[in-house]
Amino acid sequence: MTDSWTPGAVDALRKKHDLPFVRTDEQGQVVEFNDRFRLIYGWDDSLVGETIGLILPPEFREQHHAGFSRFKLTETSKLVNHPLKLSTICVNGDEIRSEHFIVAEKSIEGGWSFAATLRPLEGPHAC
Amino acid sequence: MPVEKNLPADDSGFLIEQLRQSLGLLRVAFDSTGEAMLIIDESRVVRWANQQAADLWGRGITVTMVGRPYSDLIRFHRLDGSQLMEIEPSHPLQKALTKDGLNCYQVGTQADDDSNDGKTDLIVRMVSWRQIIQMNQRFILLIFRDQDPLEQALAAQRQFINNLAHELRTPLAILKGNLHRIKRKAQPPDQLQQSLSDATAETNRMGSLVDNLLLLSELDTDLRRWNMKNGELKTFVERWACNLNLEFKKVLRLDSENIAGSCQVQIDQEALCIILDNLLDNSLRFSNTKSSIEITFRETFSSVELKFNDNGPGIQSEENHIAVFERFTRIEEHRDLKHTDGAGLGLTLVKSLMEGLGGTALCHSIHDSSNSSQQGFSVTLQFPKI
Repeated sequence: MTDSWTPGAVDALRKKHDLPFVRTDEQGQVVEFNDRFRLIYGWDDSLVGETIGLILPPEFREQHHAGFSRFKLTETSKLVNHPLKLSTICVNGDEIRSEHFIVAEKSIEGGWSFAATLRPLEGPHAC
Repeated sequence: MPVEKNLPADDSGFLIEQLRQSLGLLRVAFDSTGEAMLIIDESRVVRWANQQAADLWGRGITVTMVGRPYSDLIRFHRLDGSQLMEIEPSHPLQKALTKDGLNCYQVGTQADDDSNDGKTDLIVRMVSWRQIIQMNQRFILLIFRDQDPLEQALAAQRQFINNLAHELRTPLAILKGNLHRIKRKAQPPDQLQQSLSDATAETNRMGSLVDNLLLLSELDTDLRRWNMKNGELKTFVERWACNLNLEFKKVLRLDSENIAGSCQVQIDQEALCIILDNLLDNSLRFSNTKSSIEITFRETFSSVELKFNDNGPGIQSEENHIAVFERFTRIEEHRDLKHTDGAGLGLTLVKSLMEGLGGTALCHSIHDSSNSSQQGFSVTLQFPKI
């Protein structure tokens, strides 16, 4: 719900250095990610400016795009502020089951920003 | 030339933005409906779900349902609570392979099974299914909704017929047994003997009517337990034919050489026997002259056809070729004092059983005005190929 957007939610996630972190703009294009994300999932700077759908398995992309578009219209989502177990695609195509925790934040100018921490649940970095 | 190539970058960005908005609007619409919707792909994995479906079976979050086998999330049950296996022809995903449809089921949640020590919370839902083919991929759209008042009344009526038929079976069996005993032990005068025979015949007729009603009610409510086996259609038919009385065998010609009969189908032998028994009974009842029945096979792209042809009078009116499959229909042109009327359920059962098997039943009449001996009635049964 809109009142569950906490100011500073994105920054709070960004500070969790032990977890992979990724942020997108309101178009769903990647704006930044941290070193942990780079290390575990293998993506490099070329991901910046691309759709975040790239790190989701193809079968989830429809739900992702539709959900993103829906959010822009209603500013509500059941996905945010809940741990979600989803697969994440690595740069080499491998899938790592991860726990996503997504937050959204509205800027003073009115634009939305989305961020997530991704806790790997399998593989050498599982935690 | 594709339109996109002519679009300036700004316009294509605008189009994408417009598409996104449309997608969002669609999502809002699908999530606002009272119906739960699932799209399942060929490997039986959930490809798409709306918010209602997620609220019922996905702990409120649609994305957690996507990519999971549907059977991890929901189970279909008959209205008596027994679970429907996916291979059964009454299962919506089996039915969807042949045509779109709608039926009432109890739907259970897999997650509830685990959390309630095996006890499943079942909810009654009307379920409709539709096959979608997109970019060479097959999907099945399942829509779940509450029963409307009319459907609830119909379900109650069907349940009543089912209960009634069950209740009538026992007294009828007692009546039959007693009549049989009286006939055997007493030596009644001729007139009474005739009355006893009439009473026995009527009791038998009532017994078969009750059996047919019960079977129809089971088919209507998807309560029938199917015992599906794979095999050649011809073999199933031969099994039925070899159990017939000699007098029936004499009038029957089975085209066993036809290669189409060797096609593999999935059939419940008992259901096929009921279908063929009813067709045989019909043919013998209406053939005025010496009966002659021929069964032939034909293969089509997606099915195997069985044609059951007799030399009876057939039906004159085109409308009646549809009406004969309706319940309690007796064709006026066939009313004859020499014949005992059937209950008008035989061809209804044939059609309902064929639909239950995923097939169809149609009929037509053979009339040759130049040759009066060239007449007959033909029923075509279509079984889906496997």
